[in-house]
Amino acid sequence: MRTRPLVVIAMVFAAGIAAAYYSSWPLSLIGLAVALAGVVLVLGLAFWSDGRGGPGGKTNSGEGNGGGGATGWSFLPGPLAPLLLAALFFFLGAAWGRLDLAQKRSSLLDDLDTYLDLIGRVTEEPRVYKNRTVYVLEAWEVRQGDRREAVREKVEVSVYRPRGEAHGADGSGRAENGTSVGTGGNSAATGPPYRYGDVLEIHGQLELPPTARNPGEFDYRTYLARRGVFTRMGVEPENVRLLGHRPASPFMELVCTAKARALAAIEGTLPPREAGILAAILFGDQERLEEEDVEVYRSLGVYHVFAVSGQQVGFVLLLALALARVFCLGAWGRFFLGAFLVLFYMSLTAFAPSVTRAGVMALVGLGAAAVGEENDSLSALAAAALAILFWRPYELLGPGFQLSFLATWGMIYLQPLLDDLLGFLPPWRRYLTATLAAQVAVLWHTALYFNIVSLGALLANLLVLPVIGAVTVLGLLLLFASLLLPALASSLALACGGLLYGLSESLAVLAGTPGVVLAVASPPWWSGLGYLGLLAALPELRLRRAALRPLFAAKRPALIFVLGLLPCLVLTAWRLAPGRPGILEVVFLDVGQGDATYVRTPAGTNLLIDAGGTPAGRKHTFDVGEKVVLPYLVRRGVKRLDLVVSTHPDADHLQGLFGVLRHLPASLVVLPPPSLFGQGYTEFLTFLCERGIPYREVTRGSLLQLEPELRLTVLHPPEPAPKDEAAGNGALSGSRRPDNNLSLVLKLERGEISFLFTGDLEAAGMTELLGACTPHDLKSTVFKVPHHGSPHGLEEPFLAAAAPRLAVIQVGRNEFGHPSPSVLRYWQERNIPVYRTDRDGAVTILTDGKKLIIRPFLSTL
Amino acid sequence: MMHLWRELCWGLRELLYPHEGRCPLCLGRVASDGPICPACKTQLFAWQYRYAPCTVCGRLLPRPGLCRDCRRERPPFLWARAAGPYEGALRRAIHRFKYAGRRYLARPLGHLLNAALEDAATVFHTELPPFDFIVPVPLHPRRQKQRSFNQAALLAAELAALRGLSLADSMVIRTRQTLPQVGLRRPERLANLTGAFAAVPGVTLENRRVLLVDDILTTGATLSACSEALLAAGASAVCAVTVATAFGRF
Repeated sequence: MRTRPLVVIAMVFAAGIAAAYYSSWPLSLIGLAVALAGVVLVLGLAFWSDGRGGPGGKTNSGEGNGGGGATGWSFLPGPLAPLLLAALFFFLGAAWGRLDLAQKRSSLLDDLDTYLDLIGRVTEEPRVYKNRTVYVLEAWEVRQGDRREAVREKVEVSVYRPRGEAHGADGSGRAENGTSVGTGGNSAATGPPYRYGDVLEIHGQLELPPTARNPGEFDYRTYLARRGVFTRMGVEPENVRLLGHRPASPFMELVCTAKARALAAIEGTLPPREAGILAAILFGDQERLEEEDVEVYRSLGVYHVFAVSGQQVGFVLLLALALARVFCLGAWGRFFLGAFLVLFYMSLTAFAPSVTRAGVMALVGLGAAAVGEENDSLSALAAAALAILFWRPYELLGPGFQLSFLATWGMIYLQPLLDDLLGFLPPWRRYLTATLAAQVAVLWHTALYFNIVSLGALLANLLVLPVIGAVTVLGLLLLFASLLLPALASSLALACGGLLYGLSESLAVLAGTPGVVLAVASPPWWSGLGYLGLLAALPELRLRRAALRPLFAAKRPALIFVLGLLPCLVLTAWRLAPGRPGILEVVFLDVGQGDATYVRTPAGTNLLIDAGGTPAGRKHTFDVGEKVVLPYLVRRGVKRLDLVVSTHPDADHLQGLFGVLRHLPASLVVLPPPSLFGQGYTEFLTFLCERGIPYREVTRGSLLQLEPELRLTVLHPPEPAPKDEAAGNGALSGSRRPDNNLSLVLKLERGEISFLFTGDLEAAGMTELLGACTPHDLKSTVFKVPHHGSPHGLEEPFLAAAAPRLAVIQVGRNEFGHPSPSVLRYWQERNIPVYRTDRDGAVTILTDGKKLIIRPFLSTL
Repeated sequence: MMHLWRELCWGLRELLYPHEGRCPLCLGRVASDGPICPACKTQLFAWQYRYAPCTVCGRLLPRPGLCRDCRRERPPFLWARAAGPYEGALRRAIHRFKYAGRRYLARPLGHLLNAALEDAATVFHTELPPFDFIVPVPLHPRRQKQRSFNQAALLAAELAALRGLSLADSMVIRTRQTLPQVGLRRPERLANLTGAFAAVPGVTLENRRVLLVDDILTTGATLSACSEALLAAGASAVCAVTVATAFGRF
């Protein structure tokens, strides 16, 4: 890549940033490397500037090398100079990343989880969700009692909306301003009570944003940290007080006003669904999208329309050029007008990576026209990458950055190849090949981030792009009209709404087609490197195909066939890939307060023991099964659960299973005799019958020989007596919590290693079990501490019989005081390590029957 | 300081808009042996096998000699030469240069001008006359403002640097705005430009040889009008070189 130095620079810079993240090189060493490479380079540059001048300064012939200016590395012989330059930028990237990591610390960490007053300014346009409004506050001062401390840090503040109230009323003094345009009647149309530039005083508790708890989960804390936000606060409206209005920059004020007006026009005219889609297309605000639409757009591979990017910026640019023509502007006039409009639009969309990428590329393109150069898309892309990475280095690891750059790269780099291969099609194939190129380029990443490969993506994109193009044009006109002619804005919004309604409906039909989406497991990282490497090599291979002729003796259709087959093969490999052979994997998932354990057997059988759930009576209706357990299973590539175990019907064990079983088929559900639990299992059994999922009752002595070397034994509860069931288990039914004491106790054995899953068993159940079994039956290597570490599960003879090598407590934030200090002390006194999901996140245990490997997801130990 | 700043700007420009490895004419990839790709080079010199330039105006004829227009009335310039016919990749490159504002093309096109001049020398079996000045065909100030640059002046600057001659880009001016030559017929073109140029008052070119530079020669009307102005100012000989030329009638 001698011909595009900037591309090389961007790539090694990015590699340096990534290296700084994954390694622990000291900053001093990196600094030394930078200095060294820099000194040599500067010396070289000194020679370099001798050799060249401005335009026309060089006098070598047109046929000679570099009729244009000399490239930057002609000063050192051979391959040394490019290598040196690459090394310099690699270490610069590493230094920049390391500095950024060092800087990314909150100064408010001492003030967490205590009530305080925060004074600061709203620095971004607030985001309005259904139940809350989210502000990014630039905090100036922390007040607590008499303490006054000046700070300068961004904090995310969520103001929850009281249930059932329109939020126009929850502001303290801005309600009359907020309702300027909206008359649509829905509460969202009134806009947030505070806006950009407002100075607020907020009373509440600072906390760390939630982090990923299970492997592969979205990490909100990292996401916010990339944007320089480290803490958050959730407050009720009455804890927010407006102090004044002091916008940081009049430009942003203008931008936010324009956006608020456009949004008011959109939301006042359109029903919430279309309004949400239009807002997402125009401004990239995805918070108002309906969940079903997100699902449909994502599964069809057209979700990218909600990440403002090239298409929108392209239309802004067209508008700018049209205006420039109207005003008869010169080259630089065009540049400045275009740059202003593009920057204005970038500010509207809060500088998301995709729009920044498109914007920088547009600016580079405008610059090319202004200085009279040919625009080079790849170099422009590299410039955009450098700009973003310089500004926020760790966007590099975010999906938004990666998807946006890969798709664009595909369109620039792979499109000519596809165009060439599909040369037998009429000229409109450009449209097809561009879409296809982008899809191919992001294939691996969509598998990684969304666990899907959309087979309908090409078709859906061909359908979506023209409609979105039209909507974008209308929407941009709407944006400008809303500043000048509000009446016109409404009718434009109506036109957009009509188009979007039609589009969403037809997409919903398309998404309903069976087989349009393939669910795939998260691919391993090395396969991504291989895939992208192959893509990068393809055009080169084709260029040098004369040399490869013997390999590619086939004709063109055959080549296409091979190219098409390749992704299919890779996908099949993923689908068929079994777990690591011979390894039993047990994952204690972190589902908050509740139990959920995933087991993958050496032969690839999938077991799920409970799936968490929200304890009854909580006000949140967060479905742990659907939002935590199911996505985890999908990421692991589970297509069917071979065995599902429900230990007992408590909500924090059972409820999540509904969500999981709604989406994943199961071969068999195993549960203790439902008759023992009164009405506890009624709903679940009805659910199973409706779905036609077979279930079986198991009691003590049941044995499931899953595989030759893998046994699952049921130790508890005893079989109910035939006559009077309640009396038969008199001791247990009469105990403190009969449901808990009757929960299933399972032992999973593989070679010398065994796992004891104890459900919510308490003292009474343990005593009963101890009496009914030999101590050998209870002996285990890994012990799931019963009932989330409840003190009622501290029955020492039983625990002594289990005598595990390590204990796992599945527990989350709760009001019962789990895990009990006495339980923790018990294990500590015996020097047995305890892993807790509330502290360690998901705990993955791997075993080959002899050795144990323990991987707590959050390594806080 | 100014120098460093300039260097920096040029370096940045070079990074953002790299030239190397890309053919300036067709924008395709080139191997490392030259800026113009082999396909374009072949296309560029293919005319030499089938056409010969008119001895005077340089327009391409099926056989050597004078074209009909030159036989009827000799143009005021001594001779004119071009790098190739106004078609194909060259035509597209000139369009990008002139109308799409790709000013960087001045350099590769300047090299083509230089090559055309050297060819002219071999054709005449002589050394090139020692030119004293290189003069670009001027644009009317209003047109120049509209386009923000004068393509002929950029080409002339490149050529002057390549040949080590002095550039004189303010010796001739357009005295009135004319219609664009594009789309006019020969008589109209001639009429359109009559008296459109004049040497800047006070400039004397006694016994000076002048090389005129423009992008295209179609009828030669522009170059003729410009040459007349130069000759009127006292120049002893005027020759012309353009990037592209038209096909002439025998």
